[in-house]
Amino acid sequence: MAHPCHTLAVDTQYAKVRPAGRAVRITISMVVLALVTATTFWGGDDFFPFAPFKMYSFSKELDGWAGSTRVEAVNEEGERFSLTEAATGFRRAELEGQKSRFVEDPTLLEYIAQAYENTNPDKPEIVTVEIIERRYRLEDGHQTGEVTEIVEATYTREGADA
Amino acid sequence: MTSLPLAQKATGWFFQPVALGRVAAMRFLAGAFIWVDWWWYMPWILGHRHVPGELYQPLFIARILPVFPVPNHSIVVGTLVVLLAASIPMMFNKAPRLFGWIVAAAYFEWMIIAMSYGKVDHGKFGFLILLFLLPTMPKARWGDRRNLSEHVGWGFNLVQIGVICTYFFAAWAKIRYGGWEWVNSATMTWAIIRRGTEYSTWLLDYPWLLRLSQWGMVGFELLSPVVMFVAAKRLKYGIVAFFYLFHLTVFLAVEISFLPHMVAMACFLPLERIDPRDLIRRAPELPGRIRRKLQARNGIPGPRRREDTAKAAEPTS
Repeated sequence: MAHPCHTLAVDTQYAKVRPAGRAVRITISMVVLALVTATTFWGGDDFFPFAPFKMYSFSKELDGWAGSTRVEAVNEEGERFSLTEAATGFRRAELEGQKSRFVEDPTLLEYIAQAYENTNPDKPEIVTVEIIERRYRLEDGHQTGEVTEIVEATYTREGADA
Repeated sequence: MTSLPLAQKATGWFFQPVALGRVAAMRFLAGAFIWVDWWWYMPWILGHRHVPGELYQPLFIARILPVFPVPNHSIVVGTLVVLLAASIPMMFNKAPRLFGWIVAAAYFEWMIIAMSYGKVDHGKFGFLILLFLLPTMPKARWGDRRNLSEHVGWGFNLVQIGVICTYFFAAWAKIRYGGWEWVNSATMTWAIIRRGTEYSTWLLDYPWLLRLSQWGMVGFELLSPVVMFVAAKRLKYGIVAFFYLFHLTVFLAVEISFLPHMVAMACFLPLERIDPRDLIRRAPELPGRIRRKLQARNGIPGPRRREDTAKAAEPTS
């Protein structure tokens, strides 16, 4: 030791872990480490709280399209507006996560309309819900300014033709 | 003690003693974050009370443990009420172990409510470990630097493992999902298009700079475990300060803050040195103390320097 240690005060306590406790605790640490390693290599989001920490882990092509998804709705009065997170409680990322479900079965979009109506009981009801993806063209990592929009799924309430 | 010295050293790494004061500080920080979390950091979780159960997609853990109900309005609101109510006594050291367990369980359910609708957010791993380890630690006073505990040392070591895994395995996930070409891809461009701020949108004109930042990120994430094995305290705190600066930069660029991760990371720091009562008691005399310190600083080295120069001057003259 380079520095001389101060003599410990009399009322100082030093709590030691006994050998059996040490074995248990090291095992716990190793299990946590093993689970987080295993799920990183082979697991998916499904294994939350152990999961691959894949925030922004996908390679985006320098040449191609960068997409941005949103949901739009038309209400009984014919007004078109964006169904934002604040309006429904359902996030854009959650929509993107379940997008394949919605594309396969657009009637599921009715539940987004329900979420909106639960959140805003006083507002006019929704008749149409659409998932729209806006795509920005990239070339060599630059935005070219070229933008296209695609409607990926549409749901219209039965009997409604506002 | 029959074990080999090397084995002792290796097991000793898990049980480096920590002063109890740090436990009190971490309990306060964890509870404080929970109060910030629900209305500011992740207010959308409460929004799930309006989302129909048909959009709930149970996670693996909810499928094998049938204790997590499909969230509805009363389950979401009830979980939040229990969580907030239990976090207050935990923060202020009233039966902190009992309330710590309630907070850990309620927060876990809160996370199930959050992550079961098609998107799992990462960066709360270290914080969850912290919540489940705080109740294993004894009741503690702020500023207690005298009582050391290996139990606490083990707990915070595991929290630190969780924090560092978040970095290290984030790099690994990038290689797994994005491939080695991730570092040269347009991921940051995409991130800034989606959620750029006034501090970062100008970067879109300099894609090479964004690519460089991707190299830097993967480099620091892969090197982050070093902090677990650094003995020199100043170097360790310096590395942790770098991590905090990294999060500040990311927050300014794309408004992602990883706040719970930063709370968990605080257990690297010697928070046992903070004693709020002492700080408040001494607050009135603080200006005087600063003045005395400055005077002392100006006073003591001054004459010495004059002596030194005088001594140095003699032989040359």
